[in-house]
Amino acid sequence: MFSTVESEDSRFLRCWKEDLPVVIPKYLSREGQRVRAAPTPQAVARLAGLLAECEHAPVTVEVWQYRFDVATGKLIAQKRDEARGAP
Amino acid sequence: MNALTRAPLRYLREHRFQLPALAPPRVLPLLTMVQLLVGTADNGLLFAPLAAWFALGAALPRLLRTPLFWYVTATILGTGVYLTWESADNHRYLFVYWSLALCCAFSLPRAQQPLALAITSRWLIGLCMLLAAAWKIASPDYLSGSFFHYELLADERFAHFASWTSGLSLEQLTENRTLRESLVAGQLTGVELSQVQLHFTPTITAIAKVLTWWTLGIESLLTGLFLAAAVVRCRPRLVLVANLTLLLFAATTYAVAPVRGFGGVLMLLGLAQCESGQKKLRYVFLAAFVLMQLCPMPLMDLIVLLRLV
Repeated sequence: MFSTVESEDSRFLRCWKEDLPVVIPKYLSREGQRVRAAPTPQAVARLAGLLAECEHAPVTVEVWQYRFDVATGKLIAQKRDEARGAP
Repeated sequence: MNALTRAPLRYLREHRFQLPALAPPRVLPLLTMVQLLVGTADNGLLFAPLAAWFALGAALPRLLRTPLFWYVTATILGTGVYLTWESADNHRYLFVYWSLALCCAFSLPRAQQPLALAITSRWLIGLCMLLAAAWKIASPDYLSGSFFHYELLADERFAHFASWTSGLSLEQLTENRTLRESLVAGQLTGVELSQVQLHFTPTITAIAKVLTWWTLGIESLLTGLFLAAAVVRCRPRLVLVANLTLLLFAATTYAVAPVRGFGGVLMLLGLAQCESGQKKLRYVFLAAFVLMQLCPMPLMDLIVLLRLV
């Protein structure tokens, strides 16, 4: 039922290999969705590890969340967690 | 005396066009099958075993009124929720509870089944509304009106309603959704944003406030009415008021935002708990259920389409 903006829809992931953005491959999309639904440090670290294995390089996974500011009508994104995985 | 000497309407009522009573234990298994197939069609993992199991039920109708049938259905649905918890909508959980309710009701002697279905349905509606209202009260962004404010500006399901009531054009609302996407996925295209400005008007704030308090108010009212009807038996007038409130809730909620899964199952629960003398209300719930299947698009979309025609 409609009740809060605080849901997985408002959370998103930014993944980096050094300075390059990394696209989460399709076979890991469910892991990504799980991190968005329940962004625990363990889940973020697990995804970072899986992505690092896939990319054969260290990968950083950042969990971001946007919130809506009523006064200004702006959507503002903030980083709430991050983890680094190594192959 | 032949038929022509009687009042035609009275004759038709007595002899031909008596509507069947829509006995819940008879119609609910079939309607629930429709609801579950429609509600899980987008999930192959769940849909395939469910469709196979329901095909068996359609071929062997007696199976539909056995506890085993609904126990297996609940197991399939529950397994689906367990395996896809990260994306399972909350009405999928309600599907599981409702299948378990049918399982329990059909394990009773036939004479007790209608009452068991009615009481279980009242508890389910009452508890759903209680949890929905409680979660809203516990969410600061809901009580401040910010939740509906944002939904009106950026949720596609509200687009026509928002455009119709606030004066924002559909293009501006589409652009709001594009801006949100650029915030979420811009990094992949080299445009890493930390904030975006949505189109909005001051009217939206007022509409959001109305929606916020209307929704909380009617959900709280439904909580009280259905929990009271579940606890206090033999109060047809209380059930009538509860039913009319549920229909008002459905009309005001699902005409604006088409959440067919939740809406459909609420209408089935409504039908299941009508008193034996409320035959017409059962038909109203059935009509609402059918309409929800026919109209996956909101009322506002229909109005816009009719205008175009």
